[in-house]
Amino acid sequence: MYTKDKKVGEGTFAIVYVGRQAETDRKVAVKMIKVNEFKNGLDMTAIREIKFLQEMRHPNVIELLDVFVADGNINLVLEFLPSDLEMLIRDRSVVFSEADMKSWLLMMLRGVHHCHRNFVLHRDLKPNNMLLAPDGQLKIADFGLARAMALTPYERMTPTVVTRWYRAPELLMGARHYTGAVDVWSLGIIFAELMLRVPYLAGQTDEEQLEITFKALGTPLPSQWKGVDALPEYRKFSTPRHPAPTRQQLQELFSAASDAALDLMCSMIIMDPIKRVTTDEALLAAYFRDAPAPTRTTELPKKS
Amino acid sequence: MVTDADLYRRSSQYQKWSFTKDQLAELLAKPNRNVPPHELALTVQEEQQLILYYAAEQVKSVCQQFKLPSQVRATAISFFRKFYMRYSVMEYHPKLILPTCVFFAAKAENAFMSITTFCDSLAKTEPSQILDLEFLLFKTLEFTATVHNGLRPLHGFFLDMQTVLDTFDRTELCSIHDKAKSLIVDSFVSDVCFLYTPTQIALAALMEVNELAATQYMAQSMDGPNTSLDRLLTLIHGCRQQLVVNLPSQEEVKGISKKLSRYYKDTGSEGPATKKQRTN
Ligand SMILES: Nc1ncnc2c1ncn2[C@@H]1O[C@H](COP(=O)(O)OP(=O)(O)O)[C@@H](O)[C@H]1O
Repeated sequence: MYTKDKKVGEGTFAIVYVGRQAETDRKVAVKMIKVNEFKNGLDMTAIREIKFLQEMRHPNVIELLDVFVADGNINLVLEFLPSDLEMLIRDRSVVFSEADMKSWLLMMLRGVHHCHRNFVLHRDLKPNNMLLAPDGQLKIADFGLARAMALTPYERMTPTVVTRWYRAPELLMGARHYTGAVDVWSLGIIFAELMLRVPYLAGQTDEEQLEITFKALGTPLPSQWKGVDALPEYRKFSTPRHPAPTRQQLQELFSAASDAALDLMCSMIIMDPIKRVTTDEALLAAYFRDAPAPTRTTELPKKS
Repeated sequence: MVTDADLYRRSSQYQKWSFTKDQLAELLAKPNRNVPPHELALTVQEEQQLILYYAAEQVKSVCQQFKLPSQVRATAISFFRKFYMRYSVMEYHPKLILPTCVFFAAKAENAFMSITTFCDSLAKTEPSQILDLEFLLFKTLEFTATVHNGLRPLHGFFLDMQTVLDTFDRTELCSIHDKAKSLIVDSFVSDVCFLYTPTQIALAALMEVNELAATQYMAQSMDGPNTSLDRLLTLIHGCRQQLVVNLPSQEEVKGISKKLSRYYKDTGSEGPATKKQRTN
């Protein structure tokens, strides 16, 4: 059926091997879920990942080819994607043009838009979950933390999701109900990181993360974000009050960014999740209509 | 423009688990026919009755015991019914498949509980029995665990009705919504989820709860140059007729269960569902 040839990576919940599909000789990634919680049967992360990947078929979402069990371990067979956006961001020898960043952001937004219109929240968007195919297509991976959107605001959700640097302020403050806006925030921060080439808001602890976020973007006030003062962690961080950055300060930090780029980024990281753009709105942003046109996927920069 | 209906047609529920009436009848009878002939073998009818009873009453009681949300119950019933499209109750006893479906549905719907907590509260159920069957269940589901139900469209209709229907006040609409909700969850026992879309089921449930409100609402918001209200109403009517199933009586269930136990004894199975698990 499938061979596991070589280990290529290891995450919290899984070991990933490069392998081949015996009949077709197609190169595949075999993701073997670790048996950490096997006393409770199939791992939740694996179930979620399989459950959502089955439904999310889209050019910008990784394709699940098969599922099998061997020696009591559940294995996901995925298309093999040799690099990811984090590798490229860290590779100093690769230069990004505005058109390249536009192309990546567009693919990320399309993939997340597809999740959201299917009522699915990804909840762990970050550069190393943005995998890159040899033809340049970007594919969102790792649905191990995904869940269906809540049907009503009364359904309680856990705020401890998303890797810290990409975690939206409502989550950092302990919100028990949230929406697709948490994914949009992560994409906004990834967009910033594409421009800066270093993580934009890199806290060492959860508390520091909120502090850094407020320092960079301003402490939100209840007059700007209705109900923010009702969030569990708001009190602790509402003083000292950091002012929001001026446009000029942002321009200095993101020195190469066009006005349209900065507008879009700012709209994706508005503190109040209700005011933050949705993926539908972001896809219609002037940034994507203005020149330069997004780089064709086959011509995007690759790992050196 | 990609519509909600387009998206639904891409879902695994539509692609793998939606059938025509004839296809469904064929699928439901097949597992029974695959079992080797035996004088104590259940008939297709008996098998169906038993499945309905377990899907309705037993799932409900286990879910209530653990205070699981109705979404979990709907999904568990769906898993249970799908399992018995592939296997007969004479191959795997519903006594064990049922808790396996509830345990797995809770995981799939984000309501995880530990296997020890789960089994401690259920009589005569060992963790290993459920864990052994869990993978077989997932595999039988063809690794699809998303169950779309009518609750999301119902919620949309409920919000919409508050603006469209001025002849009903909010309290009335709330009560219609709540009744329709429980009807939708119960409807998983029936065949409608294999035959109709969640939107159609939500409308059928509204129709069943309050025909006047549903008809008025549909006339006001779903009639247009590109849609045929009459056709939609006919469809919804067909769905509504199958929404509520007649469950077998206690006596009937007892009789069938006894027969099944004798079948297991006579065919030498040590007990329910001890058949060796086929994993690969
Ligand atoms: N489809 C794939 N193709 C190639 N390599 C992959 C693929 N999926 C994952 N990997 C590699 O395996 C590593 C671990 O994967 P995973 O467990 O999904 O990530 P995480 O680190 O987010 O837990 C990734 O960082 C990546 O290097």
